[in-house]
Amino acid sequence: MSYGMNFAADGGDAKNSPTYTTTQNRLQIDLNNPAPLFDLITIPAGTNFSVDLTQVQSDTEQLYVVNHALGYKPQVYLVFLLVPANPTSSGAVSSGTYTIGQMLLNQGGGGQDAITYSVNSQTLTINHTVSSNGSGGGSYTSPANQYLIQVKYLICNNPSIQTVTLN
Amino acid sequence: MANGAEISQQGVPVDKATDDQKVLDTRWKTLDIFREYTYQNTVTLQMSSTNINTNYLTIFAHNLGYIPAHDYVINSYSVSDPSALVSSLPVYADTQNIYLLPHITSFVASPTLTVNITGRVYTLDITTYFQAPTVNAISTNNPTTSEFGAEFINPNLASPNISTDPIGEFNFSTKLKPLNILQCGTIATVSGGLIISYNYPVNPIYLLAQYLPNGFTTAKGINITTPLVGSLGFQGGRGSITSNTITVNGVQTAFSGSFAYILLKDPIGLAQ
Repeated sequence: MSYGMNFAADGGDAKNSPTYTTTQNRLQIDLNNPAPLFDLITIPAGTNFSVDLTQVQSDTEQLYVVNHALGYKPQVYLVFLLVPANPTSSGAVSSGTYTIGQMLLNQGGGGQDAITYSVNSQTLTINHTVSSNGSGGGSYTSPANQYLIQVKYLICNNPSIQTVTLN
Repeated sequence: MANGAEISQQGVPVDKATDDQKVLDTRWKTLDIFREYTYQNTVTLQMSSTNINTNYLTIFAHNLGYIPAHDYVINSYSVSDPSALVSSLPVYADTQNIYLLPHITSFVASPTLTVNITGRVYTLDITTYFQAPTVNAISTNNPTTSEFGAEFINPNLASPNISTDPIGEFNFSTKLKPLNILQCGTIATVSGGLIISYNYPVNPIYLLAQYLPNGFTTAKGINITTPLVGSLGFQGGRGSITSNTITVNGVQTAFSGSFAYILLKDPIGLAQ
């Protein structure tokens, strides 16, 4: 190495087969960022939007914003856990559903109802979107207002893969 | 531990640090970056009317000798003849190479595919089972402000400056928490779903990748017989979680096949 330190596990060889070396970059999170870069939050899952499935329509609302202010689009990981806000209600998905990347509340008949996220160089935003491509019939009302959603997010101090420029 | 090293995050004594307050423990694995790449290419696809998926492209040879965890993003693609519909452009890894396998759903004679992909390959042997020991379960230790700590900047930077460079330029710091691996390995679906058992007091973030233990072969053309792993971030299922299992089922159709997975020893409290 040019400079740095190697660490070996029990029985390992720090020089030839280190378990950990400070010359190696890895996915990691800044503990001192003013906005928490990892957190577990519980938020309302959104509004009971209605869409006409015979029309092309879309409604989006912001549920939560993290101002990470890293200055570049970071690699992020999110999991979602759906919990009922009203125990007597029933929706398209079961409470207790645990998903990575997005929470699909419903899909079909030309419509989609989902909790998703977007990330840019300044913010991570969690959204609720109900949309229709106009190919269905009747209308659809989101059950989102019947739920809370727990979101566990990690914002890495590494650029998103999309911004990779090395070769 | 008998031998090895552990370092706690800034403001927490190492002998009192819980697992989630360690920034280094040589008993654990992390998502170390082997290589980041951009693949920009225009290629002529050799197609057959009886078997249209006849192509695979080697993006590069990693030569790690094991199947690494990896992920990628398609930034753009186009096909010279729009009637050659591209259904997917998955990227797979085997023990030596990173491949692109264009899936085309209609026959067109010799179309050209132009594609731009960026990706990241990790030095994690994802198909070999690994479970990190749980040393000190989650507690309520509160980090305090500390003047002590250590930092190592990325030595590959053009002009590294440990005093002025932002924290994102550091490969190691007691102010940086790596994404430690709780568990990884492969698992086959059973009855339309898969169940991953784990032993950790925090419900972990899980990452899935398609695993093809017999490779990918077609009657003509593609003949990769070594095991393959797809990109991390497979989102084809819905899960449920208990204190020691994650169950993932298909959303609209049954889950089938095998998957490689990573569970992160992530630092956030119980999500239940």
